[in-house]
Amino acid sequence: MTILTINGTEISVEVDADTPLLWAIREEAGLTGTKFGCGIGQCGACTVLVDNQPVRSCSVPASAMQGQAITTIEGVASDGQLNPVQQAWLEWDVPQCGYCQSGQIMVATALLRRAQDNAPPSTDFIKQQMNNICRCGTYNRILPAMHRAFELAQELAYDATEQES
Amino acid sequence: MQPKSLSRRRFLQTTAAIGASGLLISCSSDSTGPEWQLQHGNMAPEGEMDNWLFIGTDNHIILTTPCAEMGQGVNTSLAQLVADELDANWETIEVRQAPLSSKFNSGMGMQLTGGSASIHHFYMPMRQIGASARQLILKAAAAQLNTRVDQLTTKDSQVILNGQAYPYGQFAADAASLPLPDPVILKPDEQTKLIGQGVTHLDTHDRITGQANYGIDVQVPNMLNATIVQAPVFGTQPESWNEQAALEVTGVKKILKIDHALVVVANKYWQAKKGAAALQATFTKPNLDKPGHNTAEVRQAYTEALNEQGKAQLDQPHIIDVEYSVPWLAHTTMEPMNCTAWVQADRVDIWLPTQSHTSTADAASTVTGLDKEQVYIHNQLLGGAFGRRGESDFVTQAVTVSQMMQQPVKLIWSREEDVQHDFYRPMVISRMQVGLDANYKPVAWHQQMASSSILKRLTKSSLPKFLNWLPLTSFIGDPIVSIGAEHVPYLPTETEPEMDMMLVDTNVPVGLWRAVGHSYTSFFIEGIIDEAAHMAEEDPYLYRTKLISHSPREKAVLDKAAQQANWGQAPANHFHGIALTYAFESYIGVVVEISVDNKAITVHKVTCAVDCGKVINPNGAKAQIEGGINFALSAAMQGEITVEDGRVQQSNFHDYPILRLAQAPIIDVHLLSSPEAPSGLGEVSVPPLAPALANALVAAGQPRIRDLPFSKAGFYLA
Repeated sequence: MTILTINGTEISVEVDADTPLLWAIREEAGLTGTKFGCGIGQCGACTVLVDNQPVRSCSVPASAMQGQAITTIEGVASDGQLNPVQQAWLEWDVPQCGYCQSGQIMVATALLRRAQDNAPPSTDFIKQQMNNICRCGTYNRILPAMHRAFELAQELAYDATEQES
Repeated sequence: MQPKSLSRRRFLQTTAAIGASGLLISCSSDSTGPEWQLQHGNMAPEGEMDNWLFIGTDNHIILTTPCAEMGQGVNTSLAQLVADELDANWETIEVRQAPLSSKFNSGMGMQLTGGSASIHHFYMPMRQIGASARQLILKAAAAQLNTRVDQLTTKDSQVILNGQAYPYGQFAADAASLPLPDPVILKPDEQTKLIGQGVTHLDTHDRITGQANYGIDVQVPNMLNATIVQAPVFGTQPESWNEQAALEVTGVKKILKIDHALVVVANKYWQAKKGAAALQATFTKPNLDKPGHNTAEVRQAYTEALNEQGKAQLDQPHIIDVEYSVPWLAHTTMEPMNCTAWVQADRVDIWLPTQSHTSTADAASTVTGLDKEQVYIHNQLLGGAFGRRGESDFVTQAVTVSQMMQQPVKLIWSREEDVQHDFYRPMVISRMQVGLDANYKPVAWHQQMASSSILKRLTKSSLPKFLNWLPLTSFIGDPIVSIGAEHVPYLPTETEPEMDMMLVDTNVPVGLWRAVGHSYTSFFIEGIIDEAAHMAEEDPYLYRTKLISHSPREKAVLDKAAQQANWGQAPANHFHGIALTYAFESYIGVVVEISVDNKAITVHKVTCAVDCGKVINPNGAKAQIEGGINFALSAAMQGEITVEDGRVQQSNFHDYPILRLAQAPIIDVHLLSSPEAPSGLGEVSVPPLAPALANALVAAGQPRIRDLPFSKAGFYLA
């Protein structure tokens, strides 16, 4: 028995020790927004956050994830409010088939968390970090959407500061 | 090109019984031709799903679209057409995927989404469905409100009278009892609101929140999960396997031997995958009677066929005599192949991502012996398709397994199976002899092309069995393989290009890949023309544009691309290459801007000018052009499937690499405004990229690439 904390909810799963986190999320937790693409950590369609770090869930065993906070695509919006990355993705209408976009958004969300305290992420930094495959070729929208997500996050942070003061 | 239209004489003047549920407008294509007939009635959509438009008495508007949504945004464009004519509330219209029904056949006579044909085929039917529903609602409203139709206006799914708004649903039941309008009057262009407007795709929200349902996400009660181990050499069979070891894996229920493969059935996918690894399967020795032991052998067979054919003997003052070639390519849709089937005594249900209801139903019917009326297809969103999901190999497998297990089964292929058991874009070798006159204008064009045939397999599987013996491809060649070769706009108008097609049977299965034959015939033509321009010592753009003055739409896209790219004024150490393609009745001019550092190519920018007739959703249209460029760049630079010992050598994204964000160029798309009917868009930007890139490389002082991918010559994307 493995206890996973996914999107703030603890669930116990009955899986072999070597079962990848991806399949525990999809088949045990029933969260199908996280996608199977390659099974070898190449494409990134299965990316989730583990303690806020992007992890390719096809390549880590679920049993090693006990006690860590796992966030999937279903868990990034709060109270139906899209997160800044999703909002930017919507504004740029990034997805085509959309199959890879959960993974793209998870990588972008992690990247944004790191960038938020610092300067806006440079194009080179985004290119270095955003390494997931999109077979439809939506890269030309992912890049500007990423910049837009940073702007939106800054606005949110600013609004939050205003409210506090 | 005339858009397909509803034939007025074929309108059915049906007067259906009054029901309380709402107004249905339905429409179906004649299996023999491109005419659609319109029908209407008042049954609820749950009872009778094969209807296109339903307006409920509760004001719920549902559009069932005939096309598969694979990322090309067709659900949105089709909804725009209907909603605009209907004056429907764009925020609340619901779009569903069609069930299996010949009513949803495309103009190709099959229920198939492909060939960049959806908007071309359904542009008029969709508008007429929306317009006729609005006219019916207005007529019913006038009667109910005791006024004249000309006193009424419509907006956001409401009828407006004297400032008072009445929801459509209030009139839906009455409208269902009225005869269909004749004629159906479409809005004049200046009154359309949604058509031509760049709208966000209807499913974007679901796609970015993880709520979109793809085939692989389907859950059916009491369902088992399975995966497959296919014999790696095409045509061979499993010979031995360790069934016991596989059954010892937790959750594994059964090992099934099916044609060319073993299937491991388990409770969960990962259990099945572990079971598959435990099988340690061996396979029968290949006994190939056709070339296919390795890539070189197939190339040799092509070369022998070309040698036998011989070249054209030309007597022009200048002659280009060269050989071009392209490799096999895999589709590698992001969503691996999958299919969920449930075979029962009197019906088979299939949940999957498919481009073709028709081939899915054929496969299910063949396996089970059930009639097609007993096949129920629940199409899901497609996580990419590019032609691969018009096939039904995975359907045959899933249905077979469900039948053997007497239970619903979801079959998911691993990525390795997907890469190694595709229907590949054919490998092709093309010899070209082009004669230029004293002024270096092309006046004679001869091409000998060697490939294996796609059409042969497709006709064998779709022809009635008693016609299977027909050697169709031996007298009609293979127009899918050679498509595009017949169109060389640079020749004098009275001169036709000569093309000989050598079809060589090989052991490697080939199929439809995004842009089909255009994906290389444009590479051949636009490469040769560039070679001719260099021979003439002329600017490649100006050389082309002079030769195509007789073709205004082609000239317009070429000029626009050159102008927007600042042709001839590339920044220091940047170089331009240009290409032009006519495909799927659309036109595209492309300029690629690169720099080269030793063998590392940086593609800075790709400028595209497109004329695809009337554009329904410019946002979606640009997305398709952008995606096609990246798809083609990936293939041109590094896409290559090779065969050794009868099996595909590549297996996953580490050895069949796909373009990533860091390598993706800026793509600048210009859609030319056009009064012409809509033509194909989803594939048209794939063909011109490779030749424009090769031409840019020559401009940069590098050798001309005639054999794809560029990686063969040591080039790579920086």
